[in-house]
Amino acid sequence: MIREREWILILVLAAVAVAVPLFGDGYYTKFATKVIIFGMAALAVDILLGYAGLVSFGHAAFFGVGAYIAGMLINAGVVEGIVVLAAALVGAALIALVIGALSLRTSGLYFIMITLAFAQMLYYVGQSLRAYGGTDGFALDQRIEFGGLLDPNDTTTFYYVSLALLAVILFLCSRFLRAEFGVVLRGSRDNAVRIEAVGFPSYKYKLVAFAISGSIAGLAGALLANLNQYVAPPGMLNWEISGELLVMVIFGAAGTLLGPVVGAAVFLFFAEILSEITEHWMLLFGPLLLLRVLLVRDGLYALLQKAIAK
Amino acid sequence: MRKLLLALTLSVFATTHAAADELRLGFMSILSGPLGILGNAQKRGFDLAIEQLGGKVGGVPTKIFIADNKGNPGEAVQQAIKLVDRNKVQIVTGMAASHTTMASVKPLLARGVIVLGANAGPSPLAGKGCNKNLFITSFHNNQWDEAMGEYLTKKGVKRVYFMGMDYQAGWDHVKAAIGAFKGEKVAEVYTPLNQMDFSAELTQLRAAKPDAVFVFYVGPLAVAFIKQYTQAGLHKTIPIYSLGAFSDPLLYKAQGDAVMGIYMTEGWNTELDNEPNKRFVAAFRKKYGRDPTGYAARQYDAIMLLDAAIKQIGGKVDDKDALRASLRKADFKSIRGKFRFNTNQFPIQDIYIMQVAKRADGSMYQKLLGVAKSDIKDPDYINCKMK
Amino acid sequence: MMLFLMAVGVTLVFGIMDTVNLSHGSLLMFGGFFVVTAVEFTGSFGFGLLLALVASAALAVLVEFVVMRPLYRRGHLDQVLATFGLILFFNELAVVIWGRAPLYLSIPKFLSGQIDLLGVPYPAYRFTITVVAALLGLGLYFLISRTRTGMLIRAGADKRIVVEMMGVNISRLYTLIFALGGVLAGLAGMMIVPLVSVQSGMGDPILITTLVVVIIGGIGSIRGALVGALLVGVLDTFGRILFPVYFGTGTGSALANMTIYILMAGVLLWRPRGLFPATAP
Repeated sequence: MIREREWILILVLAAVAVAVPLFGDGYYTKFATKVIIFGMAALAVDILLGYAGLVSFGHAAFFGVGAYIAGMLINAGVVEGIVVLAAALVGAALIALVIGALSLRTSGLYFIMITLAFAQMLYYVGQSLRAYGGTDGFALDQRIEFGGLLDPNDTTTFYYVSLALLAVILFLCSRFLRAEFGVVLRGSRDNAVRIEAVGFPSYKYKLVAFAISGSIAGLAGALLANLNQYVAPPGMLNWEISGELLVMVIFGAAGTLLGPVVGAAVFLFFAEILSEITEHWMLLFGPLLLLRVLLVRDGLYALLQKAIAK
Repeated sequence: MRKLLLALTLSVFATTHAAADELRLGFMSILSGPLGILGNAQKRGFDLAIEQLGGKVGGVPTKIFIADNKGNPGEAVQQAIKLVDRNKVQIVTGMAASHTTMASVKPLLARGVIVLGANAGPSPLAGKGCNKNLFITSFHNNQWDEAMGEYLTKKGVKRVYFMGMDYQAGWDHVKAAIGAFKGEKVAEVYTPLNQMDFSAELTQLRAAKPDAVFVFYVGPLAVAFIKQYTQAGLHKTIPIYSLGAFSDPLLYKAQGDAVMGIYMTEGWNTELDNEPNKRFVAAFRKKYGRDPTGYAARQYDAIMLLDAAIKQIGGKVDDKDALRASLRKADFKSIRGKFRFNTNQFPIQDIYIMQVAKRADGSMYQKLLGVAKSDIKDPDYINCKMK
Repeated sequence: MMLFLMAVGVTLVFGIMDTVNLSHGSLLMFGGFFVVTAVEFTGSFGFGLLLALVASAALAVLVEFVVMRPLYRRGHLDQVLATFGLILFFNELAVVIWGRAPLYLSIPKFLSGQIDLLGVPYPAYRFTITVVAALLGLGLYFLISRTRTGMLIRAGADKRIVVEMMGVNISRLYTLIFALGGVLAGLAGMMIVPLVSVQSGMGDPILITTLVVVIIGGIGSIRGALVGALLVGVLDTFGRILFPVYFGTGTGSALANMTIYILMAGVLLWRPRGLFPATAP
């Protein structure tokens, strides 16, 4: 899968990622952390989109569930990072199992819409949690800790924690997707009948992929809750987030692991720069998305790959 | 792309260093997105104040940094940190809606920045969440409603139907009005923020036959509500009581004649008879061609408070203790008339009752009827243990 | 009934052209803005309405020509991305042109009163909307099932290539359908203005609800759009009244908000292709 030259690309990206806190001030490190987190969530979307051919328009659900679990645990006094993150991961995975089991009975446009429907339901659940501020959301008392070893209140430390988690996820995913699991998944995307005929139940494989994807998005949500020390339905559970995650994936390149991360970086970067220039930044940002679709066919990461291959 | 980010990081980073004899003032509000109308209204008051002060707040050359939190709590946190870490601001003002305020106040206070909230007054920040660096110059969510509840009682209205938007500020407002009203509460209904069609609720309201209805709706929802209320013919039988934000110069054009005669309470009015207010209203009309909104007025007032406070300490903006003490005294000429801070640094102020009316030339305005209640304190200050 | 107009437009584009268009809500928003501006400009409600309809159609054709045409042969994903971009662009464009304050249109006197409906006063304007939407529904049904154009549209949905081989200009047909959908959305926008006012971004929540309607009804089916719109409208209203009564305000209002999504999930689990699948699987 990974060609010789792609390693160079990966190494360059990794080096840049590691170096970020050495150069920028706190704000930029924080911005980079946000990129990492959204990259992680976009990656989760891409596992379904790029490898199983399933377009989920409802990943805000898992993202938000992770964030809420983390927020609630921390405010209840559970601050041990491993516990909190694991709880978010498992919680999101369970929700994803339920939603996936139901959604995967449909396909195509109907699948897109039913995932959206479930995400909207969770949005309204979040909105009705009056003890947790309803639409306004709630502030976290503090960030997670790692047994007193690391101080996550330090922006740089938190950045490296997030980066490390992303690296681990990237590694695990690349192993997974190259193993039998990934082959079956891609097979069921391309030709479900044949895969079933060979004896692999494609429904079960897709469901597992859905759960994995949901849990990664949940982890990302938990990290975002910690980064902002704030949890609220808008910005975490709303459908625009699901849309933005999809856009990040397509922006980068679907069907690659690093593509979504690059996509997230570019997406957030442009949004940031353009909103610095004018309050009407969306006037410029919208056409930019259009141009990407109309002019660049395979996504930006693919462009990078090509540039390196030459 | 990361490289690009890095390059930009370096170039921007290199340019920021705070000089000693200047004020670095941040203005954060919701400038884009659906609630952008609110922040932009606020910014007009801000711009006018800065203009009148010749760009020098408290006589100190002032550098202004504008931040747009896009109505999203996550973004509000990001922007707050940007203002402090990159722009090195000493004071942040603005703050539009309660959720973005709650989210951005935390990182700002953690970094020792003084915050002058000029619009939302969420109750958690008035009680346990109060902070020596946090000044809310606008109002506490309860104040306007408490005044309205008392006004309804005084007026002898017996059965009132209560409606509001289903979120923290909505609950705060409606419950405060109910608490101060001595008559019978017919019902307490909350509708979701995204619900624009009130046909179901209006049918229930008609069936309940109350003497009056108290509503908390703002912006487009206030427009939709009043339109449908009038189309259903309810305006002929059941009068509406609400808050100043229900109908203001931003909404007149959209609401039209339907809002005529509606009663509202607010802490400020264009007709208040004091020198600073006359000056403010005249200048605002000249600059923008219409009456100011409450959002603009409160923001303008906040800047004037800051101006006076800085002047009184001789422009030494880096002396935080002195600046805080000076702000707390609130020794300035407020366009609201009487103004002072409570121990939790939320205002104690008069709340006025007003009615939407038409001038001789046909333009609409909020007609001042009088004081609804004097010297209102908020209910949360007793929980505030200021450190 | 507004939902029905939107849903027909979306279902035509989705079902027949096999194309995702998220910016349909923007067309609705522009319909609203157009009518306010046009009525102000001409000073007459009827003229303004006509002018706004023409403007909506022109905008839809423009969007089809510039953006949608290159996208037909791409996947749904590219269409999602492109039209998501369009939403952002259109919303902000509306702010630049018309400002952020909501705009409103006064309805003519004879529509602003109440009529007596089985002893209950009912807003005359709402009644008018229902009648107009019903008439349009009938008209569309006739157009699709009885005329030559309708036949081509139906045929185009099933066998694009065959229609093309028969010498029909399929791309002109597509432009026509898209414009039709756009005009319907625009009209829905115009009719909604006197109820809720028009402002930037108003179309997006409506679009989501519309998608729910379309999915429940079955993509590409006009009958489905009608049934779906009725179901969603009625259930949503009843949910809002009944749930808070039985479950208290907190849980009740959450449930009320979820009603239509629960309905949709239920329908899809029972019939994965909606109530009235338009084309055979």
